Amino acid sequence: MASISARRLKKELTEINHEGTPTGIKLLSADDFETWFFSIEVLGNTLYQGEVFKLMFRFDGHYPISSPAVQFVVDQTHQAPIHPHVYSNGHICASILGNDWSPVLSVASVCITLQSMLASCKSKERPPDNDRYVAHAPDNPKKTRFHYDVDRV
Amino acid sequence: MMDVPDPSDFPTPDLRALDASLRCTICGELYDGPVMLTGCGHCFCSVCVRQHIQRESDCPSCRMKTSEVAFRPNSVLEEVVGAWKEARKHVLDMARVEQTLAARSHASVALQTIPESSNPPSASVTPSSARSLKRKRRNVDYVSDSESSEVVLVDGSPTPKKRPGKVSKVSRANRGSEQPSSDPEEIPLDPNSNEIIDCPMCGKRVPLRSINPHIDSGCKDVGRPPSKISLSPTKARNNNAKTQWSSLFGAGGGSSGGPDSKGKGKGKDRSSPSEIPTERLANASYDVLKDKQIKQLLAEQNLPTTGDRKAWIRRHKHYLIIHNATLDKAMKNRSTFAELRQELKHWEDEKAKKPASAGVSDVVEYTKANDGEFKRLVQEARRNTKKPPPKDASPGISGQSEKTPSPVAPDIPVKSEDMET
Ligand SMILES: [Zn+2]
Ligand SMILES: [Zn+2]
Ligand SMILES: [Zn+2]
Repeated sequence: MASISARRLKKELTEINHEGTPTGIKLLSADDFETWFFSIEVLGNTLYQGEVFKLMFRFDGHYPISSPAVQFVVDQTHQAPIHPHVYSNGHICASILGNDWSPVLSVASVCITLQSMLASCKSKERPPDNDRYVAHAPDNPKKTRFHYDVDRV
Repeated sequence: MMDVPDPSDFPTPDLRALDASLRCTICGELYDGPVMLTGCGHCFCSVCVRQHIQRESDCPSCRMKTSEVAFRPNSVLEEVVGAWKEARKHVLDMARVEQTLAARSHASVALQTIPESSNPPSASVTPSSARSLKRKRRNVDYVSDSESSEVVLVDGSPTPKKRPGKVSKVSRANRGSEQPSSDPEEIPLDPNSNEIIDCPMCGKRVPLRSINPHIDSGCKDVGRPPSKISLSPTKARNNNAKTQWSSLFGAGGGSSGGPDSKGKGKGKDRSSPSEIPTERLANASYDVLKDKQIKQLLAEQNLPTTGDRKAWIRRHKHYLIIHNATLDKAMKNRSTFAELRQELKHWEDEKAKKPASAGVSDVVEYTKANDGEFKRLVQEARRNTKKPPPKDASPGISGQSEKTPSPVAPDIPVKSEDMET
Protein backbone atom coordinates (compact mmCIF):
# COMPACT_ATOMS: atom_id res chain seq x y z
CA MET A 1 0.00 0.00 0.00
CA ALA A 2 1.24 3.38 -0.93
CA SER A 3 1.83 6.04 1.66
CA ILE A 4 -0.98 8.23 2.92
CA SER A 5 0.49 11.27 1.21
CA ALA A 6 0.78 9.56 -2.16
CA ARG A 7 -2.76 8.23 -1.94
CA ARG A 8 -4.14 11.60 -0.98
CA LEU A 9 -2.26 13.28 -3.84
CA LYS A 10 -3.48 10.65 -6.26
CA LYS A 11 -7.05 11.49 -5.27
CA GLU A 12 -6.42 15.18 -5.80
CA LEU A 13 -4.94 14.44 -9.21
CA THR A 14 -7.95 12.32 -10.12
CA GLU A 15 -10.24 15.14 -9.12
CA ILE A 16 -8.27 17.64 -11.16
CA ASN A 17 -8.44 15.34 -14.17
CA HIS A 18 -12.17 14.83 -13.70
CA GLU A 19 -13.36 18.26 -12.67
CA GLY A 20 -10.64 20.38 -14.20
CA THR A 21 -8.82 23.16 -12.43
CA PRO A 22 -10.31 26.53 -11.44
CA THR A 23 -10.37 29.19 -14.12
CA GLY A 24 -6.95 30.67 -14.75
CA ILE A 25 -5.14 27.71 -13.18
CA LYS A 26 -3.67 24.89 -15.19
CA LEU A 27 -1.78 21.80 -14.24
CA LEU A 28 1.51 21.76 -16.07
CA SER A 29 2.98 18.58 -14.70
CA ALA A 30 2.50 16.11 -11.88
CA ASP A 31 4.79 13.26 -12.71
CA ASP A 32 5.25 12.06 -9.18
CA PHE A 33 3.98 12.77 -5.71
CA GLU A 34 6.82 15.09 -4.82
CA THR A 35 6.71 18.03 -7.21
CA TRP A 36 3.83 19.51 -9.16
CA PHE A 37 3.75 22.57 -11.38
CA PHE A 38 0.82 24.81 -12.19
CA SER A 39 0.43 27.89 -14.29
CA ILE A 40 -1.62 30.61 -12.71
CA GLU A 41 -3.03 33.84 -14.05
CA VAL A 42 -5.46 36.33 -12.63
CA LEU A 43 -8.33 36.88 -14.97
CA GLY A 44 -10.33 40.02 -15.17
CA ASN A 45 -9.41 43.60 -14.45
CA THR A 46 -6.46 43.31 -12.08
CA LEU A 47 -2.91 44.57 -11.76
CA TYR A 48 -1.64 41.31 -13.21
CA GLN A 49 -3.63 41.30 -16.41
CA GLY A 50 -1.87 39.32 -19.11
CA GLU A 51 0.77 37.92 -16.76
CA VAL A 52 1.16 34.19 -16.35
CA PHE A 53 2.99 32.81 -13.34
CA LYS A 54 4.21 29.37 -12.55
CA LEU A 55 3.69 27.70 -9.20
CA MET A 56 5.71 24.86 -7.79
CA PHE A 57 4.33 22.54 -5.10
CA ARG A 58 6.66 20.25 -3.20
CA PHE A 59 5.23 17.58 -0.91
CA ASP A 60 6.88 15.68 1.86
CA GLY A 61 5.80 12.34 3.25
CA HIS A 62 3.62 14.03 5.86
CA TYR A 63 1.29 15.76 3.44
CA PRO A 64 -1.50 16.69 4.08
CA ILE A 65 -0.79 16.80 7.82
CA SER A 66 2.09 19.09 6.95
CA SER A 67 1.66 21.84 4.39
CA PRO A 68 3.12 21.65 0.91
CA ALA A 69 6.08 23.90 0.09
CA VAL A 70 4.66 26.34 -2.44
CA GLN A 71 6.48 29.03 -4.36
CA PHE A 72 6.46 30.88 -7.64
CA VAL A 73 9.01 29.64 -10.13
CA VAL A 74 11.59 32.17 -11.24
CA ASP A 75 13.40 31.32 -14.47
CA GLN A 76 14.03 32.76 -17.91
CA THR A 77 10.39 32.77 -18.84
CA HIS A 78 8.76 33.24 -15.45
CA GLN A 79 8.94 35.92 -12.81
CA ALA A 80 7.43 35.98 -9.39
CA PRO A 81 4.49 38.38 -9.33
CA ILE A 82 5.33 41.76 -7.85
CA HIS A 83 3.27 41.68 -4.69
CA PRO A 84 3.84 42.81 -1.07
CA HIS A 85 3.78 39.15 0.03
CA VAL A 86 5.86 37.63 -2.73
CA TYR A 87 9.66 37.78 -2.67
CA SER A 88 11.58 38.07 -5.89
CA ASN A 89 12.89 34.53 -5.45
CA GLY A 90 9.33 33.27 -5.61
CA HIS A 91 8.83 32.63 -1.92
CA ILE A 92 5.39 33.56 -0.64
CA CYS A 93 4.48 34.93 2.74
CA ALA A 94 0.99 33.50 3.13
CA SER A 95 -0.36 32.19 6.39
CA ILE A 96 -2.25 29.41 4.64
CA LEU A 97 1.12 27.90 3.74
CA GLY A 98 2.32 28.15 7.33
CA ASN A 99 0.39 28.56 10.55
CA ASP A 100 -3.00 28.51 8.90
CA TRP A 101 -2.47 25.39 6.86
CA SER A 102 -5.09 22.74 7.51
CA PRO A 103 -4.95 19.14 6.28
CA VAL A 104 -8.42 19.51 4.80
CA LEU A 105 -7.03 22.06 2.36
CA SER A 106 -5.78 20.90 -1.00
CA VAL A 107 -3.52 21.87 -3.85
CA ALA A 108 -6.50 23.37 -5.62
CA SER A 109 -7.55 25.41 -2.61
CA VAL A 110 -4.01 26.79 -2.26
CA CYS A 111 -4.05 27.79 -5.93
CA ILE A 112 -7.35 29.59 -5.46
CA THR A 113 -6.13 31.39 -2.36
CA LEU A 114 -2.99 32.59 -4.11
CA GLN A 115 -5.01 33.64 -7.11
CA SER A 116 -7.28 35.75 -4.94
CA MET A 117 -4.28 37.13 -3.10
CA LEU A 118 -3.05 38.47 -6.41
CA ALA A 119 -6.49 39.58 -7.53
CA SER A 120 -6.97 41.75 -4.45
CA CYS A 121 -3.58 43.46 -4.75
CA LYS A 122 -3.77 47.24 -4.57
CA SER A 123 -0.24 48.19 -5.48
CA LYS A 124 2.50 46.24 -7.15
CA GLU A 125 5.48 46.25 -4.85
CA ARG A 126 7.92 43.81 -3.31
CA PRO A 127 7.99 43.10 0.41
CA PRO A 128 10.03 45.81 2.20
CA ASP A 129 12.62 43.25 3.33
CA ASN A 130 12.91 41.61 -0.07
CA ASP A 131 16.64 42.06 -0.68
CA ARG A 132 17.62 41.01 2.82
CA TYR A 133 15.38 37.94 2.68
CA VAL A 134 16.36 36.78 -0.78
CA ALA A 135 20.06 37.03 0.07
CA HIS A 136 19.72 34.48 2.87
CA ALA A 137 16.58 32.57 1.97
CA PRO A 138 16.63 28.80 2.35
CA ASP A 139 15.85 26.72 -0.68
CA ASN A 140 12.66 25.51 0.85
CA PRO A 141 10.28 28.30 1.90
CA LYS A 142 8.88 26.04 4.61
CA LYS A 143 12.08 26.57 6.53
CA THR A 144 11.35 30.25 6.74
CA ARG A 145 9.36 31.50 9.67
CA PHE A 146 7.36 34.22 8.05
CA HIS A 147 5.63 36.85 10.08
CA TYR A 148 2.21 37.37 8.69
CA ASP A 149 0.76 40.82 8.37
CA VAL A 150 -2.60 41.76 9.70
CA ASP A 151 -4.07 41.28 6.26
CA ARG A 152 -3.50 37.57 6.27
CA VAL A 153 -3.92 35.62 3.14
CA MET B 1 0.07 4.19 -11.42
CA MET B 2 -1.54 2.79 -8.30
CA ASP B 3 -5.25 2.26 -8.13
CA VAL B 4 -6.77 4.40 -5.41
CA PRO B 5 -10.52 4.02 -4.88
CA ASP B 6 -12.17 7.37 -5.17
CA PRO B 7 -15.68 8.85 -5.48
CA SER B 8 -14.95 9.41 -9.16
CA ASP B 9 -15.15 5.64 -9.63
CA PHE B 10 -18.93 6.00 -9.73
CA PRO B 11 -20.69 6.95 -12.95
CA THR B 12 -23.40 9.12 -11.40
CA PRO B 13 -23.17 12.26 -9.24
CA ASP B 14 -25.47 10.93 -6.54
CA LEU B 15 -23.29 7.89 -5.92
CA ARG B 16 -20.17 10.03 -6.07
CA ALA B 17 -21.66 12.27 -3.40
CA LEU B 18 -22.55 9.29 -1.26
CA ASP B 19 -19.06 7.87 -1.49
CA ALA B 20 -17.48 11.26 -0.81
CA SER B 21 -19.64 11.84 2.25
CA LEU B 22 -18.19 8.74 3.89
CA ARG B 23 -14.62 9.89 3.43
CA CYS B 24 -12.32 11.66 5.84
CA THR B 25 -11.44 15.12 4.59
CA ILE B 26 -7.87 14.73 5.80
CA CYS B 27 -6.80 11.52 4.10
CA GLY B 28 -9.61 11.15 1.56
CA GLU B 29 -10.14 7.50 2.53
CA LEU B 30 -13.34 5.98 3.83
CA TYR B 31 -13.42 6.82 7.55
CA ASP B 32 -11.15 4.56 9.56
CA GLY B 33 -12.18 4.60 13.18
CA PRO B 34 -14.04 7.91 12.89
CA VAL B 35 -14.07 10.24 15.87
CA MET B 36 -16.25 13.27 16.33
CA LEU B 37 -14.84 16.45 17.82
CA THR B 38 -17.25 17.36 20.57
CA GLY B 39 -16.85 21.11 20.17
CA CYS B 40 -17.91 21.39 16.54
CA GLY B 41 -19.10 17.94 15.50
CA HIS B 42 -16.65 17.47 12.66
CA CYS B 43 -15.50 13.93 12.01
CA PHE B 44 -12.15 12.52 10.98
CA CYS B 45 -10.31 9.23 11.13
CA SER B 46 -8.94 8.95 14.61
CA VAL B 47 -5.44 8.40 13.33
CA CYS B 48 -5.67 11.42 11.00
CA VAL B 49 -6.88 13.93 13.55
CA ARG B 50 -4.48 12.57 16.17
CA GLN B 51 -1.60 13.28 13.84
CA HIS B 52 -2.95 16.73 13.16
CA ILE B 53 -3.43 17.50 16.84
CA GLN B 54 0.26 17.00 17.43
CA ARG B 55 0.90 20.11 15.39
CA GLU B 56 -2.17 22.25 15.77
CA SER B 57 -4.73 22.21 18.55
CA ASP B 58 -7.69 23.07 16.35
CA CYS B 59 -10.28 21.36 14.19
CA PRO B 60 -8.91 21.01 10.65
CA SER B 61 -12.28 21.95 9.19
CA CYS B 62 -13.47 24.89 11.27
CA ARG B 63 -10.40 25.69 13.37
CA MET B 64 -12.29 25.53 16.61
CA LYS B 65 -9.88 24.83 19.46
CA THR B 66 -9.83 21.17 20.38
CA SER B 67 -7.74 18.46 21.99
CA GLU B 68 -7.64 14.72 22.38
CA VAL B 69 -10.08 14.79 25.27
CA ALA B 70 -12.70 16.17 22.89
CA PHE B 71 -12.55 13.13 20.58
CA ARG B 72 -15.51 10.79 20.74
CA PRO B 73 -15.60 7.54 18.79
CA ASN B 74 -18.42 7.75 16.27
CA SER B 75 -19.54 4.14 16.32
CA VAL B 76 -22.62 4.70 14.19
CA LEU B 77 -20.57 6.22 11.40
CA GLU B 78 -18.07 3.43 11.81
CA GLU B 79 -20.81 0.90 11.13
CA VAL B 80 -22.18 2.82 8.19
CA VAL B 81 -18.74 2.94 6.65
CA GLY B 82 -18.24 -0.74 7.39
CA ALA B 83 -21.45 -1.61 5.55
CA TRP B 84 -20.54 0.70 2.68
CA LYS B 85 -17.13 -0.90 2.36
CA GLU B 86 -18.87 -4.25 1.93
CA ALA B 87 -21.43 -2.90 -0.50
CA ARG B 88 -19.27 -0.49 -2.45
CA LYS B 89 -17.99 -2.93 -5.01
CA HIS B 90 -21.42 -4.38 -5.65
CA VAL B 91 -22.96 -0.95 -6.02
CA LEU B 92 -20.14 -0.02 -8.35
CA ASP B 93 -20.75 -3.12 -10.46
CA MET B 94 -24.48 -2.52 -10.56
CA ALA B 95 -24.12 1.13 -11.38
CA ARG B 96 -21.89 0.24 -14.29
CA VAL B 97 -24.18 -2.50 -15.52
CA GLU B 98 -27.05 -0.08 -15.23
CA GLN B 99 -25.21 2.45 -17.34
CA THR B 100 -24.53 -0.10 -19.99
CA LEU B 101 -28.13 -1.22 -20.07
CA ALA B 102 -29.34 2.33 -20.10
CA ALA B 103 -27.17 3.07 -23.08
CA ARG B 104 -28.44 -0.02 -24.85
CA SER B 105 -32.09 0.74 -24.34
CA HIS B 106 -32.14 4.48 -24.11
CA ALA B 107 -35.50 4.61 -25.81
CA SER B 108 -37.02 3.03 -22.74
CA VAL B 109 -35.00 5.26 -20.51
CA ALA B 110 -36.36 8.27 -22.29
CA LEU B 111 -39.84 7.04 -21.55
CA GLN B 112 -38.94 6.70 -17.94
CA THR B 113 -37.81 10.26 -17.58
CA ILE B 114 -41.18 11.59 -18.71
CA PRO B 115 -43.12 12.43 -15.59
CA GLU B 116 -46.42 10.67 -15.33
CA SER B 117 -48.40 13.88 -15.53
CA SER B 118 -46.83 14.79 -18.83
CA ASN B 119 -48.29 11.82 -20.62
CA PRO B 120 -50.23 13.33 -23.45
CA PRO B 121 -53.89 13.14 -22.55
CA SER B 122 -55.83 11.53 -25.31
CA ALA B 123 -59.47 11.09 -26.05
CA SER B 124 -58.89 7.63 -27.27
CA VAL B 125 -57.63 6.45 -23.94
CA THR B 126 -60.30 4.17 -22.74
CA PRO B 127 -61.07 4.36 -19.07
CA SER B 128 -60.04 0.83 -18.60
CA SER B 129 -56.71 1.15 -20.30
CA ALA B 130 -55.99 4.38 -18.48
CA ARG B 131 -56.83 2.78 -15.21
CA SER B 132 -54.76 -0.17 -16.11
CA LEU B 133 -51.80 2.00 -16.89
CA LYS B 134 -52.22 3.84 -13.68
CA ARG B 135 -52.56 0.72 -11.69
CA LYS B 136 -49.51 -0.65 -13.29
CA ARG B 137 -47.53 2.39 -12.37
CA ARG B 138 -48.83 2.36 -8.87
CA ASN B 139 -47.81 -1.23 -8.59
CA VAL B 140 -44.40 -0.42 -9.80
CA ASP B 141 -44.14 2.31 -7.25
CA TYR B 142 -45.35 0.00 -4.60
CA VAL B 143 -42.80 -2.55 -5.49
CA SER B 144 -40.00 -0.08 -5.49
CA ASP B 145 -40.99 1.44 -2.19
CA SER B 146 -41.30 -1.83 -0.45
CA GLU B 147 -38.39 -3.69 0.94
CA SER B 148 -40.13 -6.99 0.79
CA SER B 149 -39.34 -9.21 -2.10
CA GLU B 150 -42.64 -10.97 -1.61
CA VAL B 151 -44.63 -8.20 -3.26
CA VAL B 152 -46.39 -9.64 -6.23
CA LEU B 153 -47.94 -7.75 -9.07
CA VAL B 154 -51.53 -8.62 -9.67
CA ASP B 155 -53.05 -7.73 -12.92
CA GLY B 156 -56.79 -7.80 -12.71
CA SER B 157 -57.50 -8.10 -16.39
CA PRO B 158 -58.03 -11.68 -17.34
CA THR B 159 -56.26 -11.38 -20.64
CA PRO B 160 -55.28 -14.59 -22.29
CA LYS B 161 -51.81 -15.73 -21.53
CA LYS B 162 -49.36 -14.56 -24.10
CA ARG B 163 -45.88 -15.64 -24.72
CA PRO B 164 -43.40 -13.09 -23.49
CA GLY B 165 -41.71 -13.12 -26.85
CA LYS B 166 -44.70 -11.29 -28.24
CA VAL B 167 -43.78 -8.15 -26.44
CA SER B 168 -42.21 -6.39 -29.31
CA LYS B 169 -39.34 -4.04 -28.81
CA VAL B 170 -41.04 -1.41 -30.92
CA SER B 171 -44.29 -1.32 -29.08
CA ARG B 172 -42.52 -1.04 -25.78
CA ALA B 173 -40.02 1.50 -26.83
CA ASN B 174 -42.55 3.73 -28.49
CA ARG B 175 -45.12 3.55 -25.81
CA GLY B 176 -44.42 7.00 -24.61
CA SER B 177 -45.52 8.57 -27.83
CA GLU B 178 -48.31 6.18 -28.58
CA GLN B 179 -51.60 5.77 -26.86
CA PRO B 180 -51.05 3.97 -23.65
CA SER B 181 -53.18 1.08 -24.78
CA SER B 182 -50.72 -1.18 -23.21
CA ASP B 183 -52.95 -3.84 -21.79
CA PRO B 184 -52.95 -6.11 -24.81
CA GLU B 185 -49.18 -5.94 -24.88
CA GLU B 186 -48.90 -6.44 -21.21
CA ILE B 187 -47.41 -9.73 -20.32
CA PRO B 188 -50.00 -11.37 -18.11
CA LEU B 189 -48.88 -11.81 -14.60
CA ASP B 190 -49.49 -14.90 -12.70
CA PRO B 191 -48.72 -14.22 -9.08
CA ASN B 192 -48.06 -17.85 -8.43
CA SER B 193 -45.82 -18.39 -11.35
CA ASN B 194 -42.23 -19.13 -10.63
CA GLU B 195 -41.43 -19.24 -14.26
CA ILE B 196 -38.20 -17.58 -15.34
CA ILE B 197 -38.12 -16.09 -18.77
CA ASP B 198 -35.68 -14.35 -21.03
CA CYS B 199 -36.44 -10.66 -21.08
CA PRO B 200 -37.39 -9.78 -24.65
CA MET B 201 -35.58 -6.49 -24.31
CA CYS B 202 -32.28 -7.29 -22.74
CA GLY B 203 -32.20 -11.06 -22.73
CA LYS B 204 -31.64 -11.30 -19.00
CA ARG B 205 -33.27 -14.09 -17.05
CA VAL B 206 -36.16 -12.52 -15.20
CA PRO B 207 -38.97 -14.08 -13.17
CA LEU B 208 -42.15 -13.90 -15.19
CA ARG B 209 -44.04 -12.09 -12.46
CA SER B 210 -41.56 -9.24 -12.44
CA ILE B 211 -41.10 -8.89 -16.17
CA ASN B 212 -43.41 -5.91 -16.50
CA PRO B 213 -41.77 -3.66 -13.97
CA HIS B 214 -38.47 -4.85 -15.33
CA ILE B 215 -39.30 -3.74 -18.86
CA ASP B 216 -41.06 -0.61 -17.67
CA SER B 217 -37.86 0.44 -16.06
CA GLY B 218 -35.94 0.13 -19.27
CA CYS B 219 -34.48 -3.11 -18.00
CA LYS B 220 -33.27 -1.33 -14.94
CA ASP B 221 -35.77 -3.24 -12.88
CA VAL B 222 -37.89 -0.41 -11.49
CA GLY B 223 -38.75 3.06 -12.66
CA ARG B 224 -36.51 5.08 -10.42
CA PRO B 225 -33.38 7.07 -10.85
CA PRO B 226 -30.33 4.80 -10.85
CA SER B 227 -29.18 5.32 -7.31
CA LYS B 228 -32.53 4.56 -5.79
CA ILE B 229 -33.21 1.59 -7.94
CA SER B 230 -30.62 -0.46 -6.29
CA LEU B 231 -32.63 -1.44 -3.25
CA SER B 232 -35.57 -2.70 -5.22
CA PRO B 233 -36.83 -6.16 -4.48
CA THR B 234 -37.16 -6.93 -8.15
CA LYS B 235 -33.45 -6.58 -8.38
CA ALA B 236 -33.11 -8.82 -5.42
CA ARG B 237 -34.98 -11.49 -7.31
CA ASN B 238 -32.03 -11.70 -9.55
CA ASN B 239 -30.11 -14.39 -7.75
CA ASN B 240 -26.76 -12.80 -8.20
CA ALA B 241 -27.79 -9.41 -6.93
CA LYS B 242 -29.63 -10.97 -4.06
CA THR B 243 -26.56 -12.40 -2.45
CA GLN B 244 -24.76 -9.16 -3.10
CA TRP B 245 -27.32 -7.09 -1.33
CA SER B 246 -27.96 -9.44 1.51
CA SER B 247 -24.33 -9.18 2.47
CA LEU B 248 -24.95 -5.50 2.95
CA PHE B 249 -27.81 -5.99 5.33
CA GLY B 250 -26.49 -9.11 6.94
CA ALA B 251 -29.82 -10.67 6.13
CA GLY B 252 -28.38 -14.12 5.78
CA GLY B 253 -28.14 -16.25 2.70
CA GLY B 254 -25.13 -14.35 1.44
CA SER B 255 -21.71 -15.78 1.65
CA SER B 256 -20.26 -13.03 3.76
CA GLY B 257 -23.36 -11.80 5.53
CA GLY B 258 -25.23 -13.14 8.45
CA PRO B 259 -25.32 -11.93 12.01
CA ASP B 260 -22.95 -14.69 13.04
CA SER B 261 -20.05 -13.38 11.07
CA LYS B 262 -20.51 -9.94 12.50
CA GLY B 263 -18.66 -10.40 15.73
CA LYS B 264 -15.71 -12.04 14.15
CA GLY B 265 -14.31 -8.91 12.65
CA LYS B 266 -11.98 -9.31 9.73
CA GLY B 267 -11.82 -13.02 10.16
CA LYS B 268 -9.04 -12.70 12.67
CA ASP B 269 -8.67 -14.95 15.60
CA ARG B 270 -10.18 -12.98 18.43
CA SER B 271 -9.98 -15.80 20.90
CA SER B 272 -7.32 -14.12 22.98
CA PRO B 273 -8.53 -10.67 23.96
CA SER B 274 -5.13 -9.83 25.40
CA GLU B 275 -3.96 -9.45 21.81
CA ILE B 276 -6.17 -6.38 21.35
CA PRO B 277 -5.38 -3.06 23.04
CA THR B 278 -7.90 -1.98 25.60
CA GLU B 279 -6.15 0.84 27.42
CA ARG B 280 -5.06 4.22 26.23
CA LEU B 281 -1.45 5.23 26.38
CA ALA B 282 -0.55 8.61 27.83
CA ASN B 283 1.59 11.09 25.93
CA ALA B 284 5.13 11.30 27.14
CA SER B 285 7.23 14.41 27.68
CA TYR B 286 10.21 13.16 25.78
CA ASP B 287 12.24 16.30 26.44
CA VAL B 288 12.62 15.50 30.12
CA LEU B 289 13.26 11.81 29.59
CA LYS B 290 16.67 10.23 29.48
CA ASP B 291 17.61 7.93 26.61
CA LYS B 292 17.23 4.96 28.87
CA GLN B 293 13.71 5.96 29.83
CA ILE B 294 12.65 6.40 26.22
CA LYS B 295 14.02 2.99 25.38
CA GLN B 296 12.08 1.70 28.34
CA LEU B 297 8.87 3.18 26.90
CA LEU B 298 9.51 1.38 23.63
CA ALA B 299 10.27 -1.87 25.39
CA GLU B 300 7.00 -1.66 27.29
CA GLN B 301 5.17 -1.77 23.98
CA ASN B 302 7.44 -4.44 22.52
CA LEU B 303 8.81 -1.98 20.03
CA PRO B 304 12.33 -2.09 18.62
CA THR B 305 14.96 0.31 19.93
CA THR B 306 16.96 0.58 16.76
CA GLY B 307 18.13 3.96 15.55
CA ASP B 308 18.90 7.06 17.53
CA ARG B 309 17.00 9.03 20.13
CA LYS B 310 15.18 10.96 17.42
CA ALA B 311 14.06 7.73 15.81
CA TRP B 312 12.87 6.35 19.16
CA ILE B 313 10.78 9.41 19.87
CA ARG B 314 9.31 9.42 16.40
CA ARG B 315 8.53 5.72 16.68
CA HIS B 316 6.95 6.00 20.10
CA LYS B 317 4.92 9.05 19.12
CA HIS B 318 3.47 7.34 16.10
CA TYR B 319 2.82 4.14 17.97
CA LEU B 320 0.87 6.14 20.53
CA ILE B 321 -1.23 7.62 17.74
CA ILE B 322 -2.12 4.33 16.09
CA HIS B 323 -2.58 2.57 19.42
CA ASN B 324 -4.97 5.17 20.77
CA ALA B 325 -6.66 5.46 17.39
CA THR B 326 -7.49 1.77 17.24
CA LEU B 327 -9.14 2.12 20.64
CA ASP B 328 -11.61 4.48 19.00
CA LYS B 329 -12.88 1.59 16.91
CA ALA B 330 -15.42 -1.07 17.74
CA MET B 331 -13.80 -4.15 19.24
CA LYS B 332 -14.27 -6.15 16.06
CA ASN B 333 -12.42 -3.55 14.02
CA ARG B 334 -9.49 -3.01 16.34
CA SER B 335 -6.01 -3.97 15.34
CA THR B 336 -4.12 -6.48 17.42
CA PHE B 337 -0.82 -5.51 19.02
CA ALA B 338 0.95 -7.46 16.32
CA GLU B 339 -0.92 -5.59 13.62
CA LEU B 340 -0.15 -2.26 15.22
CA ARG B 341 3.52 -3.11 15.23
CA GLN B 342 3.29 -4.17 11.62
CA GLU B 343 1.57 -0.92 10.78
CA LEU B 344 4.24 1.04 12.59
CA LYS B 345 6.94 -0.76 10.67
CA HIS B 346 5.17 -0.08 7.41
CA TRP B 347 4.94 3.60 8.34
CA GLU B 348 8.63 3.76 9.10
CA ASP B 349 9.50 1.99 5.87
CA GLU B 350 7.40 4.45 3.89
CA LYS B 351 9.06 7.39 5.58
CA ALA B 352 12.49 5.96 4.91
CA LYS B 353 11.68 5.27 1.28
CA LYS B 354 10.34 8.75 0.63
CA PRO B 355 13.14 10.98 -0.54
CA ALA B 356 13.15 14.37 1.07
CA SER B 357 11.18 16.82 -0.98
CA ALA B 358 14.17 19.14 -1.05
CA GLY B 359 15.64 16.73 -3.58
CA VAL B 360 15.23 19.47 -6.14
CA SER B 361 17.95 21.44 -4.48
CA ASP B 362 18.07 24.56 -6.54
CA VAL B 363 14.84 25.56 -8.14
CA VAL B 364 16.30 28.24 -10.33
CA GLU B 365 18.99 25.96 -11.73
CA TYR B 366 16.59 23.13 -12.10
CA THR B 367 14.01 25.01 -14.05
CA LYS B 368 16.60 26.65 -16.26
CA ALA B 369 17.99 23.31 -17.23
CA ASN B 370 14.53 22.17 -18.21
CA ASP B 371 13.43 25.39 -19.71
CA GLY B 372 12.81 24.13 -23.21
CA GLU B 373 10.85 21.26 -21.82
CA PHE B 374 8.73 23.55 -19.69
CA LYS B 375 7.94 25.85 -22.56
CA ARG B 376 6.67 22.90 -24.45
CA LEU B 377 4.65 21.80 -21.46
CA VAL B 378 3.07 25.18 -21.05
CA GLN B 379 2.03 25.16 -24.66
CA GLU B 380 0.69 21.70 -24.26
CA ALA B 381 -1.21 22.66 -21.15
CA ARG B 382 -2.70 25.64 -22.93
CA ARG B 383 -3.96 23.45 -25.70
CA ASN B 384 -5.37 20.95 -23.29
CA THR B 385 -6.99 22.89 -20.51
CA LYS B 386 -8.30 20.09 -18.40
CA LYS B 387 -5.96 17.20 -18.75
CA PRO B 388 -2.36 17.25 -17.60
CA PRO B 389 0.15 16.33 -20.25
CA PRO B 390 0.23 12.60 -20.76
CA LYS B 391 2.87 10.75 -18.82
CA ASP B 392 5.15 10.12 -21.72
CA ALA B 393 4.98 13.73 -22.87
CA SER B 394 7.38 14.90 -20.22
CA PRO B 395 10.01 12.28 -19.67
CA GLY B 396 12.55 14.79 -18.52
CA ILE B 397 10.93 16.01 -15.35
CA SER B 398 11.03 13.13 -12.94
CA GLY B 399 14.20 11.84 -14.48
CA GLN B 400 15.89 15.15 -13.90
CA SER B 401 14.84 15.41 -10.33
CA GLU B 402 16.36 12.05 -9.66
CA LYS B 403 19.61 13.20 -11.13
CA THR B 404 19.84 16.30 -9.01
CA PRO B 405 19.34 15.31 -5.41
CA SER B 406 21.12 17.30 -2.81
CA PRO B 407 23.94 15.15 -1.42
CA VAL B 408 22.67 15.42 2.13
CA ALA B 409 18.97 15.64 1.59
CA PRO B 410 17.57 17.29 4.69
CA ASP B 411 14.62 15.62 6.29
CA ILE B 412 12.23 18.50 6.29
CA PRO B 413 9.37 17.05 8.29
CA VAL B 414 11.65 16.16 11.16
CA LYS B 415 13.31 19.52 11.07
CA SER B 416 10.10 21.41 11.22
CA GLU B 417 8.96 19.19 14.07
CA ASP B 418 12.10 20.09 15.89
CA MET B 419 11.44 23.74 15.38
CA GLU B 420 8.02 23.38 16.88
CA THR B 421 9.02 21.44 19.93
ZN1 LIG C 1 -8.57 10.09 7.53
ZN1 LIG D 1 -14.79 21.55 13.34
ZN1 LIG E 1 -34.65 -6.79 -19.61
